[in-house]
Amino acid sequence: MITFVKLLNGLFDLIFAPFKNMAPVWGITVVSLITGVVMLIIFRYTSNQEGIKNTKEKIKGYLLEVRLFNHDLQQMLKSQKKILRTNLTYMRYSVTPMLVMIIPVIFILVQLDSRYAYRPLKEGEKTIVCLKLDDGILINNADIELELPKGLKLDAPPLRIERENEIDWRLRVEKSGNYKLTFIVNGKRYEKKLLAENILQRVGAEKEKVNFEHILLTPAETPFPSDSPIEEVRINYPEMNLTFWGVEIHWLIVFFVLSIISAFGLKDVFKVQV
Amino acid sequence: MYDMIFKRGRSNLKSKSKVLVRIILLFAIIPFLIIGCGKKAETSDTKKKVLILGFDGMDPIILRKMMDEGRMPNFKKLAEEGSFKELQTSNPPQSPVAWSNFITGMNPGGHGIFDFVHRDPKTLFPYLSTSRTEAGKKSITIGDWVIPLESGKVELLRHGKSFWEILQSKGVPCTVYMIPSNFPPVECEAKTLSGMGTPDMLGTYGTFSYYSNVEPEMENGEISGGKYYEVYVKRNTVKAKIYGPKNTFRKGAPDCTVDFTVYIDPENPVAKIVLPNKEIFLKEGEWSEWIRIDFELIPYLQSVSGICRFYLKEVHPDFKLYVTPININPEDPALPISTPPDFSKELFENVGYFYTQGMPEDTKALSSGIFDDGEFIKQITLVHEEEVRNYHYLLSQFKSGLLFYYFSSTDQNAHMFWRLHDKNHPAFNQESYDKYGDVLEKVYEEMDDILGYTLKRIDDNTTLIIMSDHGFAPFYYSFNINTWLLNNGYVALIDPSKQGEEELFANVDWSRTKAYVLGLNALYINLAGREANGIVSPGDEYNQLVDELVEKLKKVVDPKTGKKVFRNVYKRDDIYSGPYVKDAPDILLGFARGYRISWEASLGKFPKELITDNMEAWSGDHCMAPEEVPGIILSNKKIVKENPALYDIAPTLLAEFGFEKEKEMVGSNIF
Repeated sequence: MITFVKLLNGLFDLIFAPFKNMAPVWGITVVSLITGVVMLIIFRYTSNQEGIKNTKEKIKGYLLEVRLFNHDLQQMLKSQKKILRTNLTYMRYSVTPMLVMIIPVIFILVQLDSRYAYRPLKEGEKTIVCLKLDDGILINNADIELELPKGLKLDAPPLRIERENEIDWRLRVEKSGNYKLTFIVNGKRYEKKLLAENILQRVGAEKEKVNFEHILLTPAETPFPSDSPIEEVRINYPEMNLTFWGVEIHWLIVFFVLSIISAFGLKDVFKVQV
Repeated sequence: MYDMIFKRGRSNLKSKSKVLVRIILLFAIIPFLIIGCGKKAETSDTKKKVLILGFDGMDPIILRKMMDEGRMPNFKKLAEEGSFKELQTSNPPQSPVAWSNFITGMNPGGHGIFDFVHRDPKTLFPYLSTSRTEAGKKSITIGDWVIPLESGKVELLRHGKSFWEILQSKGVPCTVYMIPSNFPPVECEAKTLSGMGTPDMLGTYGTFSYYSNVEPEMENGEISGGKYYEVYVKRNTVKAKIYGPKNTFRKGAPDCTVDFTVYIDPENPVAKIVLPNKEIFLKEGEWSEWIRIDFELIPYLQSVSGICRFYLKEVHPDFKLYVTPININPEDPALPISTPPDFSKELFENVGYFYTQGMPEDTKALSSGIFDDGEFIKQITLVHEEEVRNYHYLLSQFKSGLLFYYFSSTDQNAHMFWRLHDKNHPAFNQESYDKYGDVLEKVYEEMDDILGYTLKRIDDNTTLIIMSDHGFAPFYYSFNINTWLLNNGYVALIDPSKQGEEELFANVDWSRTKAYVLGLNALYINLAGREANGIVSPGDEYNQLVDELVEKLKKVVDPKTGKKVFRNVYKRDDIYSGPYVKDAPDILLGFARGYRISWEASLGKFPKELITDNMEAWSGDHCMAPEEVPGIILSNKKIVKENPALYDIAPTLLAEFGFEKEKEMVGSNIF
């Protein structure tokens, strides 16, 4: 699974490479448009195109009936019943491609989320880094140190939260760049990335001990090994504000709207019945 | 046949070109979709520009002294190249009254604002003079839920047209930032943000919250201007609630609350505050950024948001956390605070969150001992930094028309730090003086920096006006005017043995009371037909009583100093004109420099002592005779009018754009 996620990361890094120094909205726009096309192709080859075409023609015919016989209530009701029934057939034809499409869409969404949910820190900004230990080690008994690279500065004394088995630090970004934080727990070293370079990149707010869900949903970083005393390290990154047409909008809406526009706009080009 | 082929070919061509057009259109619109930011067009264009900076309470004596000392080089330059004069303030010289004179070009008889508080003559209950909030009256109750059938309303009580309404209606674009006496902002096309008078989310002028395991000093179990919440530190954790507005959708309108947890380190002076949508890490003595708090009214359907900042005063040995009043969120305001309604959002999007409550400096936290001097200075510095940041933004957007910008720091600092500025003050403290003795002058220097910044950015088409609504004077002694009325037989108490104990006239025998004081400069006659229990007949009896009181008050002398307590005492008909004179207090009290009404007397109390030393942090004031506290006016144009007054500014602004003054305005052009 980790290898597969790494492959996906590589692929999407490649797709996003031209946009990493541009405004974030460019990358998501292009990816959404490409997604629309990919979904269109998947739809074409996984759906019953002939069936969809016939069904749509039938619906058109029944609609014409409604218009032609609008003086005959009984005939109109019959036509509407047929429209409903044919619509169900149309929906049935869409189920298989939808089920097929859902898998790549999930991976695309995960990749987009890792780039658009949070943004890297800026120079001068502060953040909280939380380290949560495994239940087997108590925060007060463990020997814990945070080693910082040049460019990051500890901004306050650490805060130990016994009831959460957690220790928090507040850091300040002195100089922009991508860094590695090193946590030394009982003599062993563990690393977590801290991103403070103003480019579009995968921002992993959390890094957990290895588990399937974490690997699948947070592809930004390789998880801690299963024998690690660290349960989780979390960095409070700021949320990314995506501005589109002067309006702040969630990236998910941009993605769905643009991919749908792209798919419908190009369905004739790819000769796909939708 | 050829025809058919031709037709089919044409049809194919048509279909292909249709597809091509679709593709081109799709890709052509993308850059526009991304780049298009939809900038709004200017409403009107005029080369003339007028920029007015309002420094609340800037005093001519302090300013002149600092200019002479070379500490205000930009003010000095402007005074030398343009004009500098004293500006006649309003009577009484209270901010809501003064700014209303400025806004309307009228005196209080025209705009109807006579004091911070007015009284309802039928109930003698005080209310805020500039606005009134009323909840919707009709509703249906279903179980614990209340469904309103009518919306509530907020009403501006100031009468008269504002200068920006007039200018904007004539095509002059106006931006007016945080002007006092304009909440809710009067509806117009100008960009305005309401200032003094704008409440917090609780509907008050600012109620802070204080969380501690140690009870602060309180009077009658309360802190004035704030709420104390007792908390317990268990396993280095504190659990508490932020209290928001009343939930009028619930029966009994309980407070909306948001839970939060504070984790504190067992040894280090740090804490983490965990809110539903945010975590804040603070060191002792640090302020958080503004935090948005969403209060749920109806689960998943309706919520209202406010903003606040946290100040971690102490972690060990005691836990002390201050939270600012919950301000109306400019991003999503729960009450009208701007025109057009999205102007506050525009500001937020360009400058971030900021204090929206009318008087952001938390003087009450200092007066009640929650803040020490240093902490208060830090808080007012935060306020001032926001004011400067917002000013820079609006000045950068100022291309034509009129921009008014209001700065509050000069006023609030003078109120709280006169005791350090003036060694004769009874509350002067050498230790504080050694640390913060120069604080008031530093604020003036910051205003000079603002002027310097401005002078570099205005062009030859800009008329610049710097003004204040009033000046300042020491508040050495509190005069219990209601006690004087009692001692002189104008007031009778039901139970004289309880003098000084009851609130708000509760012990007054109205059947034997001829006059009373409520507010900071207002004396009312207990007039038959107007007051609910009036005993003084209108006509001769009323006139004789007014004359008698004016004469007697003018002669009151402080036995301790041998000085007169009043510089002047005014009859309303002598100083006011306009349709609202009938609502004015009968007599206006013009205290002499150094004297002011006591806090107790202003709220209808009768302390036993007549004059007391003012030992409070609130040590400077301006609620005196207007002659004692004139404001300032400077301009890059020559001011030709002798003794310019606040009500002259509105006609002057109209004249600057070539318009005649309105007939209700009593002032005239100063240039």
